[in-house]
Amino acid sequence: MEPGAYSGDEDAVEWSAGARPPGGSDVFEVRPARVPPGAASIVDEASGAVIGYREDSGGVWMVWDLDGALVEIGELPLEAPLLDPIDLLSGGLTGLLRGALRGAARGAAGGAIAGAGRAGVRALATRTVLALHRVFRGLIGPGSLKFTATTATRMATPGRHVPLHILRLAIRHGKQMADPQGVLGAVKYVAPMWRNGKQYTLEVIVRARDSTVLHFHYE
Amino acid sequence: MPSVRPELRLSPRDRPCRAHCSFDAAAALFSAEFELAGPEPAPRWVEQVERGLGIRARTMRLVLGDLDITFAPPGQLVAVDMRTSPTLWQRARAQVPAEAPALWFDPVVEFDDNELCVLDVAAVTSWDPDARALMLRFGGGEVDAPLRWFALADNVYAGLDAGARLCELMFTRVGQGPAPGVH
Repeated sequence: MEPGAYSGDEDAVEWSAGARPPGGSDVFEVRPARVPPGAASIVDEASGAVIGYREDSGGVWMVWDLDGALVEIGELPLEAPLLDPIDLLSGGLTGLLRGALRGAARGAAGGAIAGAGRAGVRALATRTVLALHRVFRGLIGPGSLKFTATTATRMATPGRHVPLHILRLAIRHGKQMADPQGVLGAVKYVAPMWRNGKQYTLEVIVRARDSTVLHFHYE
Repeated sequence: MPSVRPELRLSPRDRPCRAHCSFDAAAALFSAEFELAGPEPAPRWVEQVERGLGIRARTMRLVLGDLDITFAPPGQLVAVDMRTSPTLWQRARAQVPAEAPALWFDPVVEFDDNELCVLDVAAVTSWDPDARALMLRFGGGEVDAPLRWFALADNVYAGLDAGARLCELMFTRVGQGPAPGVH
């Protein structure tokens, strides 16, 4: 019998590992289309995963969750001028110098965050962090996504692993198309994916009737 | 994206290796899992230190068109995957090499920061139902037959051209369904 004549279906298995790749600390991202491209990723320190996005623009800050929903919006605080006349009044030339140094340090810190394109959760209000975590936990928790024996093995292989929530985000936000190999009932999802800041294209092939991942691959 | 067949750096393989090759028609996925036999060599001092520090062993991926090769340097193959459909396969008689030295290969390519290299290489897929062999000829019909062969595993062979570039991969004893023994 030729391989093409094979008609059995593979058993589906569950995958329960968290966001971290096996033994690694890589950061993966699939950005929802509603999040502005310039928004900084919010990284959860415990899991090492991106759990949301933040952008400071036009005097306001905005935070989005992994679904691309706007979680919070607020006004940026007014910044003290670089050289405050009060510094001069209170401390003469020494006070003026202290004010200038404070302004320079503030500028350097802001530049570092923008340059890295990442932000920690510490700067966020507790309710915002909880809202971001709720969506993230929903993506990494047990759900309907299953794997074949082959794709489960790939999930356990360093270098091939893609976190479960990233696969789910690709299915949720990626472009949907028919499987080019013509497998009946299979759907292909394609989404831009970032690994440690480098962009790739992630493809996920899912059997629709039982949400089983038949194949995933990025390049 | 470069479209040149990769040059291979060869190194002797001193442990027997077998590949569990299978084609799953329900997923249109060919996969091969490489399994080393024989005693595990004692870890080198550097490996011991890295294990102690929790640093994972490096795993690299070479993507040749539709083919995805995962290996652990220097040259130890871990897995090969390819989505493919039998409707595109050509019938061919597999010329299984009678003698092929047991070797590993390291592709002479540039990997990115995530240890991934993608080359846009076309491949023609052929199938021999008698030998249950799947053959991938890289570079389409423009490439001559390989000048020399070597064995990556008991049932997997690689063919090289005069410039030590990869011409062909041959997987024999291809089974059906998921690879046995992986789960």
